[in-house]
Amino acid sequence: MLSRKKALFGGIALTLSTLGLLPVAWAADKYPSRPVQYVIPFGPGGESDITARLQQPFFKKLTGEDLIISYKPGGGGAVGWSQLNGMKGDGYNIMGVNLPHIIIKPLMGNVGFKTSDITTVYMFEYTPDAILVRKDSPFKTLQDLIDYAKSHPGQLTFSGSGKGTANDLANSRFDDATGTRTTYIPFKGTGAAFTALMGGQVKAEWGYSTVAANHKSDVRMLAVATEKRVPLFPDVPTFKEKGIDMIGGTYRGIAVPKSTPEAMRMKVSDLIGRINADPEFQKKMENRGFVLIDVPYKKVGAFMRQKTKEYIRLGKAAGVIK
Amino acid sequence: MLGLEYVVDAVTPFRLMLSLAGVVAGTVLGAIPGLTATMAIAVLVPLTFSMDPASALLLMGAIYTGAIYGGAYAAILLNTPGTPSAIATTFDGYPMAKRGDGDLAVTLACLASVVGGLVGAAALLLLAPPLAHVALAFGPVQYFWLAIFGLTLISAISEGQLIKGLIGASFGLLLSCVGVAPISGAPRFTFDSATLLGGINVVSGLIGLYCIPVLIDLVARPERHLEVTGESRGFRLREAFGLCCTGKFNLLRSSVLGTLTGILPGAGGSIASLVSYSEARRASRHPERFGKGEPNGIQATESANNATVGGGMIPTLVLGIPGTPPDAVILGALLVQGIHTGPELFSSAGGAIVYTFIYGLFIATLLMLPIGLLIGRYAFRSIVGFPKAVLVPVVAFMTIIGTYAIRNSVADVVIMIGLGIMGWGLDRLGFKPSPIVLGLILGPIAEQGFVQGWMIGSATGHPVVAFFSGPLTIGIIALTLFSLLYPLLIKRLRKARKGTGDESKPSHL
Amino acid sequence: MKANHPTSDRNDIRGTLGALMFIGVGAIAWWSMLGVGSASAVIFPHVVILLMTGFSALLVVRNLLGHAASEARAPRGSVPRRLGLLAGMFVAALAMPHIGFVTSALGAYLIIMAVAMYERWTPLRLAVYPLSGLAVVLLFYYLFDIVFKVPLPAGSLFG
Repeated sequence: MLSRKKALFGGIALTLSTLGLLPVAWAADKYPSRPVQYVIPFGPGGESDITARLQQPFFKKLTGEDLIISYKPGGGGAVGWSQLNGMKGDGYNIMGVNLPHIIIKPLMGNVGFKTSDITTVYMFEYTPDAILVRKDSPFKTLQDLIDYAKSHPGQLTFSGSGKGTANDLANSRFDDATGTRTTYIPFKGTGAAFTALMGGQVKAEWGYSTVAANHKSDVRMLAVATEKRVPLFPDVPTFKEKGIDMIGGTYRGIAVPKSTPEAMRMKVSDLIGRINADPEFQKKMENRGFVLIDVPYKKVGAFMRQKTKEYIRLGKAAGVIK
Repeated sequence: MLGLEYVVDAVTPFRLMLSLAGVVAGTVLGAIPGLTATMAIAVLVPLTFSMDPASALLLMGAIYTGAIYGGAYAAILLNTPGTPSAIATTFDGYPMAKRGDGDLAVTLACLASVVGGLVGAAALLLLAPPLAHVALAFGPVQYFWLAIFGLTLISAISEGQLIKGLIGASFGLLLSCVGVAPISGAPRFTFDSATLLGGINVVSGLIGLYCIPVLIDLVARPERHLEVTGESRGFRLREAFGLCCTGKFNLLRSSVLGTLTGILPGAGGSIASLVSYSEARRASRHPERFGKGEPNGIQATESANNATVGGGMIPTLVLGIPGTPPDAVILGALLVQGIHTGPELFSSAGGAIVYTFIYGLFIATLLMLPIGLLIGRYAFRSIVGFPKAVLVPVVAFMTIIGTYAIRNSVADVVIMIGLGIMGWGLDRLGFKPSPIVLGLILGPIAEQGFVQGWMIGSATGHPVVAFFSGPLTIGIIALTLFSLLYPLLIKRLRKARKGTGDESKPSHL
Repeated sequence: MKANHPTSDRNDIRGTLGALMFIGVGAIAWWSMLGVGSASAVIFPHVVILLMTGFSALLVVRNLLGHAASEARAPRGSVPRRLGLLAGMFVAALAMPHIGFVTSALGAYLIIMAVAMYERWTPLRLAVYPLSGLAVVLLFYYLFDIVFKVPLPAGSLFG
């Protein structure tokens, strides 16, 4: 019975695949030779989704194959990442990863995965932390804001996305560096944090350069946590220029299941690198406030070690981990 | 003015076809439990990338409109909200279907959805920039009180068992805490299980608590699922139209409430339909009929949830702040397309996209009338006509695939079935599912509002003061108190009038 | 049918049982929060647990004092069929990652169909009903896997 059923299905599968309806698994010389599943561990419409959607057409352009985006939201990414290693490690399943999430979250409690479970093959992008205020805010410069924070300890409220996120760590780093005490209010995601700023529930927001890029007419960016000024905002100073040693934000990359062979990891890494090298892609990303970085598979290990050390220090200082 | 010149752009053959296809696809997808409007739009977003922005928006808007209406079918015919927005439609829709008025209920839902959709779209067309600021008026404290106001609905839906309703709602609130906490990031009640890490998704909760018990009882008895009344009565359009005429104030009020709730970024179709349901019940001269198959209940919820489509678009397009969850997906798609949202979209120079879209949305909403009636007729006939041995496995299969597709997770399916068994058992003990679901939906809003409000209050003054100051806050608190005390007031009045005739006698349609 | 029927539960013993169970759930929930340090994570669940156990205690007291308003009714119908339905659904969910979506869904469909069958099996029904299952499962498979590109669980068997 079972074998007959199997044969029946086999027949259907064969017909469907000859019609081009089913992916054909056995022509595997070139990578990719069929659509690649790209899982975003967050819901649709967020920044991780937008970066993936921007990569999608360039993936198709470079390989001729589709990049299929699906979502596995829940637990601030934990649901997706805890299932990463259960997927097939054949190079056709990849997942987005975010820093500092994958480093900080496992240290905050049992979230179903450890940082070492995640095999990152490429870090391609980062959205720098930035302080945003409403256009009508009395804070015209970063110094105005710091002065207010100094004279009103604890009363300067920042909205930001979540606890243990880049925003949260940036706030604690900022307090440290400027010797102030401000109040960080975690919201569910960047969108909610922005809404709170616009509604005047908080005085300032820890956001990203992308938020400023999308809402240019509503907000003023006081400073951005990059090495050099962001091309899209030539007038906005970096924290570094203002004597605050802060470079950071949310980093995004691509991970594969642990079972993916070394050679395949390299292939995935190369492919993401090639998308990153496309000038048209670069332009699209930069226009939306994203900053491209290139950390291929060979260098990811060192990058992660350095970031882990840094985030653990910051996380402890912020009190989100013990 | 109002970009009237773009009406022509909205009715090109290609765009008409998009509206039609979008409404059909949305209605069918929304009817399947588990496939929400958000999902339906998200899976079809890639299709829109090859289109011009106005067509892309139009397609997404049409799918959205259709999906919100489609959710009513499953609510009425299977007691399972197809999308969370249809949750309150089950309260009266299913009792109507049970007594043989399922066809009428589906037609009513269609008419109400069209009215709600038109009101929402009109608000988007005429009042978008000024109304957008409603979105910003609500902060954490106001959301907290809004959730508390929503919880007062317990008294209406616990069918005379108030204490059990309160216990159920608290249990629902507790269920909403399962998983990684959104604000503090701490895992709660996960018992170190990866299954519970992502928490209990509202949609899987809805399917489990509403649909599985129906299936369990369906399979246990040989009787037909719904009453069949001998002859076919067509759409019963005239009857439905009459009901809409007598209930026009209810329709209008619910549509306006739906539009306003849609504008609030922290709420959505589910809150909109719950709020307008409770208002319709309060305003009704026969509140005791609600929950037992009152047509006004369906009109309220279905007009309100479709009004959120236009309402939610207001902050999305004016401020770049999504009003409802599907709007977040639409906004993301617009950003990928390189469209910057803002009031200038509504100015004459930048109006091409938005006005073409809005007029398209009107057309899609109107198209929903014939499409919705036809599909509704078909859905009704299949549910009534299918033999049990086909109906039960089909519905069971749809709940599984629908729950799985929420986030491609087998764990959600297991949770859904588990909740279903629990819900069935609790129902046997006298604890109804609706208060639990109410808690599940309102829990996150209440918790986030409370914690954030407290933190902001502590930073800038006294937290307790922050929870009781500001005209809006006081207004919501007053409304909450009013809704709690109103039944007592009515009782008093009734007592005073007793002897002048029995007017609470239930009458038939 | 409800109030004074001999089998009805006039003192709402079922409700009392339920309330006691909720008090138990509350206790377990409280215990499981003991390890969570962050005050902002704990406060809301604590309030909710207190409300839930408080209302439950109130219900128990009310019922003991004899003010019960019972309406619980005994379930009618076949228990094996109920269990069969749930077993079918659980099997489908748990087997999916191992034997694939189509196979497990079809298997569950056939089990549930057999469980829900109240008519006589005629040759026509025997042919049409399972075929309807195949059609529904394959239609959804096509819709989800191919059109919507939702990655359905793939197992060792097809699908």
